[in-house]
Amino acid sequence: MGKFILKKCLMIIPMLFIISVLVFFAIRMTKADPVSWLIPADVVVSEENMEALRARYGLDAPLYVQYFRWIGNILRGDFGKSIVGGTSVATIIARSLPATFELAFGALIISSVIGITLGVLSAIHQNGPVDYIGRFIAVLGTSMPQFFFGIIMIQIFAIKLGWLPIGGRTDPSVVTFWDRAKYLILPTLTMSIAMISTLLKYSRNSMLEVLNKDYIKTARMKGISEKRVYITHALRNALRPVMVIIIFRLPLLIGGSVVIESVFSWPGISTQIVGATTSGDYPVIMVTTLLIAATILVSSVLLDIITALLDPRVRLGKE
Amino acid sequence: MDENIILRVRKLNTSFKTEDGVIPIVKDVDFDVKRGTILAVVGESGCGKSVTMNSVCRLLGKNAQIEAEAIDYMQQEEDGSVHPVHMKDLTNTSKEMRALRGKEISMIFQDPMSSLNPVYKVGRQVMEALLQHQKMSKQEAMAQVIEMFKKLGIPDPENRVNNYPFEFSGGMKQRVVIAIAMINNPQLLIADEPTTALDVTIQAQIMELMVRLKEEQQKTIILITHNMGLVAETADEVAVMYMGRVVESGTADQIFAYPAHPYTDALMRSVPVLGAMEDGKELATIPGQTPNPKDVTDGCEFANRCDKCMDCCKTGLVGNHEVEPGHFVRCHLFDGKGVRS
Repeated sequence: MGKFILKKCLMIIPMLFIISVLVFFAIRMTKADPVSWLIPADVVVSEENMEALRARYGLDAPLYVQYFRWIGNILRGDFGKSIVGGTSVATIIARSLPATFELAFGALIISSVIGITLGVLSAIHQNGPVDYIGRFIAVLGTSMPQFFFGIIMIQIFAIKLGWLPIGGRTDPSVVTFWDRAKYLILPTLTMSIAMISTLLKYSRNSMLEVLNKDYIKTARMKGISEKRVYITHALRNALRPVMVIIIFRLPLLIGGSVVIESVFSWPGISTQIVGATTSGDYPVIMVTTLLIAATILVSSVLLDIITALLDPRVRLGKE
Repeated sequence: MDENIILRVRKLNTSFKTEDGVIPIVKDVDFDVKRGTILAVVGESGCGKSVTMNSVCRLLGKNAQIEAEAIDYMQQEEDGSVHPVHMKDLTNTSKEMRALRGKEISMIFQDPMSSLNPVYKVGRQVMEALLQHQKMSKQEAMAQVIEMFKKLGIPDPENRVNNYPFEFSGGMKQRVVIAIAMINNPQLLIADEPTTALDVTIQAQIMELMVRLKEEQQKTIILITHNMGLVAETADEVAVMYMGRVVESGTADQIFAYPAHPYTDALMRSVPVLGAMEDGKELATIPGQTPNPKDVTDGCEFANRCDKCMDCCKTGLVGNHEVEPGHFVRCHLFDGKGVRS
């Protein structure tokens, strides 16, 4: 098992390297001259000054030299500077990534627990009241846009009831854990709702499929309790496809939560990516893209490990 | 009640709720299983043999409706006394039902490829059944599992208990399934087409194992099959089912000597016999197809495929007639309405 994990982890390195090449050249292929972004549209700058500016940012060297310079710096821990504000990219990431992680992991945990539990209960009580409630939640969660749900939540819990803050991540008066946590509740919940319904559907279907398998009959015929049939025999088999959904939601939660971040004015990384893209801040774009690629790779390794733990056929290399 | 009977089923009716309404699958099924014998339940696919047994063990889904006049299991205590358990009054998941499963009645399923949980070691899966019904440590239980593997002819049992199902061949998997069924030493073993998914040589080994269980340990076995050859070799009693009804029942000798029901007769004639076929002669088949259970209306279910069909067969219920002691046939040919051909 240790060897299996090590092998999977080592595979990340060459893949990240390839992705870094793609990211770098793709952005530079767009032909958008980074220097032109620096100059206000109504200012006339001489060609010499432009060249000087280019030389200053190292943009006059051949592309491959620039690439190795960039990747070399990254390996040394220097992610470069934003060409818009001059802040180092490392600082931007250090400021926004924890906020994003907070939200993403919170949503992931909440939606996994609620989604799987409801899905399993729906499957066990198929066509019963629990199942109908579950199916209603599933339809609601998938069909309601996130921003709409977020606005409703703000309207009810922040404006009408005044229980929770409208947005933001923290304020100067923050002391206790609850002070911080109350900022998290609404955005996490909003982020979770769509995923709860997806997970509910998947775990319900997966569980129903497993419950029809012959080995469930074998298990029942041993005389064991229904609880044991469901948890020991069915759930572990039903979880495998559900795990794929959960794990591959992670990069999406990290890179794609622009809507949530703007509805709740949450200072996360998606906002930074959107800002950098519109202002052509290529050092920020490149590093954040690389970061999301890394999240996807780590997620897929994580998925391999979890799958192997759940299923001996994968662990022992028969599939 | 006769002490020799281990399972008595009277007027078992099982139907399924579907989108097309309630469809009866098992109709008025009666049978007795004698202690220490093999009863073969024979019939084409879809005739309700498996549903009958799954109804007895309460393994059907929520859309199944099971009604019966009696499903009585005669439980024999260690001192030899016998008392009946009225299984028709038990719910699917009741304690009493679970106490019977595995301990008194066991089942072997058709496809060994899918009847073991793929994610657990086989030893653990057998042990689970043992620990459910008997108080002992895991070490003691594992020792018993290894012992059982040895008895069932699984080579190298000490190491094999730590393998996963996918590391076993089909025949070996079926032995593990049998080990699960046998580990608590139950009195009644229901084998639902135990050899259908296996190749012929393995088939013979598994059947030999079953016959040995009956002869050496006086187990009772209900063998569900559509293989007439197997029935001839192993069964003591036979019940032939068609479209959810038992159409003929009796001892194996009676039925093979004198297949009274036209369906049984047709079944026997459609068994290929190696070397006994005349050159160029075609194997007899039963004309037509088994009807869809939801289309069956009135009269004898076999009427539209029967070469001896009479007018009276097309309406009303057909009674059960004893053509010789212990040999029952559900056919108008024997009730005087029609003349036996």
